[in-house]
Amino acid sequence: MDPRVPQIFSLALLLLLGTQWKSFPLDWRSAVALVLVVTFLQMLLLPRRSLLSGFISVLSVLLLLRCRAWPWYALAGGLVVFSKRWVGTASGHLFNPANFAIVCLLLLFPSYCWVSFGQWGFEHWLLGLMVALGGAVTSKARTLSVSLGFLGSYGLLLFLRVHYLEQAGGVWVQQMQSGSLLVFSFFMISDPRTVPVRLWARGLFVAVVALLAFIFRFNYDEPNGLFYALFLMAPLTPFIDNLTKSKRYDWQPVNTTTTYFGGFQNFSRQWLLRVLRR
Amino acid sequence: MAVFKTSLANGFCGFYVAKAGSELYNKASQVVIVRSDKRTAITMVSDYRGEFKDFALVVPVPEVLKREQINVADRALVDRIDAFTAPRLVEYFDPDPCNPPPRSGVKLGAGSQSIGGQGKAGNEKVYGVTVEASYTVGEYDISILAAKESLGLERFLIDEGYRLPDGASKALTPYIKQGMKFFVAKVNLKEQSRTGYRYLRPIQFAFESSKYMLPLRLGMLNASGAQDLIVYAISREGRVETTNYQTVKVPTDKELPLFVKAEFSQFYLAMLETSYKKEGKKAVFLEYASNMSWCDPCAVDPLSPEELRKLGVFWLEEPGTTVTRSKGRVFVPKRSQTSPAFVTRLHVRYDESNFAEDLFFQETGDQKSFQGRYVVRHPWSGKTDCELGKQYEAGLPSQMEERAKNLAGLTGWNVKDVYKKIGQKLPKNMKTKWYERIFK
Repeated sequence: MDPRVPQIFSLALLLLLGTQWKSFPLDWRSAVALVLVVTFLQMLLLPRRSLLSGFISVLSVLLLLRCRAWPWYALAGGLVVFSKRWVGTASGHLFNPANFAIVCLLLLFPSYCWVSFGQWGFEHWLLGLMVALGGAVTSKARTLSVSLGFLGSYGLLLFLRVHYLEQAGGVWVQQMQSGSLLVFSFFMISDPRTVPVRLWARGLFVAVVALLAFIFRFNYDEPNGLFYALFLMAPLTPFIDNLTKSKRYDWQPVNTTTTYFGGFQNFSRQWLLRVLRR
Repeated sequence: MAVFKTSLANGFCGFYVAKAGSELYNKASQVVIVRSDKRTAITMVSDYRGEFKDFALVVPVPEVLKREQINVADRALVDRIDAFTAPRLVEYFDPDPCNPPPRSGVKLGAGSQSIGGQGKAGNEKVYGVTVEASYTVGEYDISILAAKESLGLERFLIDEGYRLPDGASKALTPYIKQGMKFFVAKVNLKEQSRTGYRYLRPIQFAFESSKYMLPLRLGMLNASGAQDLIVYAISREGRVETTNYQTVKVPTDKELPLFVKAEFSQFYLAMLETSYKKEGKKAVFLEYASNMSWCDPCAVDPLSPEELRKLGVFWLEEPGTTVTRSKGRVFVPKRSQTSPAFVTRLHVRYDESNFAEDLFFQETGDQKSFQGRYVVRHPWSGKTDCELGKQYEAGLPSQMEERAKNLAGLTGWNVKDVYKKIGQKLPKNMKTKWYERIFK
């Protein structure tokens, strides 16, 4: 099974819990706008790429980004496809598309879009569920090392800070119990297409992302430091892979003949093109 | 208690009859934080009730404050913003079912009706503590201290006559290590008697800092058990929320039995306690969020630009209010002229173990209005001899049941007791717990 399928399932489950039970302020218009824009643009502009990746980006944006109204989500959808299609090297796109869209909107429309870091609360079972789902998904995509490496280095930095400031240990525990931190670690930075392939390169990469995120958060009091740190580091991945002479990771291309989803995607695309030509 | 009758248009026909303001809580402090970009103005009201000579306030601040950055405010300002934003009870009178009002679109249920020191300067460098500045402002002697280590600061304060709670130095350390200064205030009894007030007025200070936070941890020292803090955050664009704790909306727009009108305070306290426990005692509650320029309807008049300015809203004076944001942000859509200030009321019930970290905030782009609002309805007492009237009468018991259940669910009160207070027997078909049926 394509590792993206369990990832979509996990993200959708978290989104369901968040909207139904944590009352995320998301309205259906935003979700519909985002899904439609990503689906249509991707079918038109990236016919050979599977829509599964697009759906992962859609769910990640819905989980993390909050905007005043649906047009910003539509714009986020455009940015997702833009980053997949045009921002990259010959071997693939540079940024995690959801990360790209979130960072662009936070920087361009700071008064309209934001990330609610505290939105998950501290329920242990919910955080446990995130770790379990994230662990399963990333081990299937072979990026568990990325998630754990990042959480480990970021956690270590937080721990050192708490220790240096002589704060109570409870502060560190609370900082690590952030649902948004877990979602970022298991579902965003772990995107195999935007992290280096070699294990040691990965270790270095996530350590630097963690350090940047830490500096953003505590030296510049920027609550969204995680996203900015990944955004700054992602363009280095192709160079690191070149230096280490490793072939960049790629998902399986759309197989229109053997998989139901691929066949369905191909059929929808043909239909869409026919409608547009009329 | 405010009884107001405004904006009867818009299908609104209720009266505000009670509000749950800050006077409800035993140990409640109130803080108004006005902030835009890095500019921050803080107004602090303590609930101090002891002898004035024993009063002491220690607040970590990001920089050495000049005399002009400190002020003493009028208590009435904070009372006004409290009254404006407090959760409230609204009273409706059911119309004559036989002659329904022309607006057929008005729903009977609620839910659609959301609103829019003089410190001894000679004592320098004792214990590694520097008195950076000291002033007398209003009835307060204020010193700004810089310290190298917490034990020194603790001893210095004790020497100065402050009575510090146990564990003070431990709580001070993280702030010292972050390079923060300490704003220390005592009451100057001579000046205090000159003011003629029988209470201490709020202290205000303004500074620039990239940190949008409130140091809670020091406040926990002299408290046993949980304390209430009400934060009124005034921003330019939209709702303010905490970034390191979940911000949860209080339950709102609930219909309740009529007797709640007489005990609204008890109801609100019980409801808040229930929600607080339900959220694992670790959440910050949103009680109000709205643009200050309008309210529909208003519990009290919105704060005037002059009142807002006195609370620290500095941007009202800028003509045209076009703002260039810092941080290299590229594009700022033009601000509408109708948004002078957005106020968010957050209620924090904090204690040592559940709030290990200070509160960190962020301003969001959310401009939706929100208020804690509860509804009681007087049933129609006139004749009901038409067809609609009979239907209305027949519907009353189920409405009553609904409201009783709402109340019981929100407060954790027993449904039986609720019915007792309503003055009726529990309906037979209403399900009670199975064990209540065997052990009655």
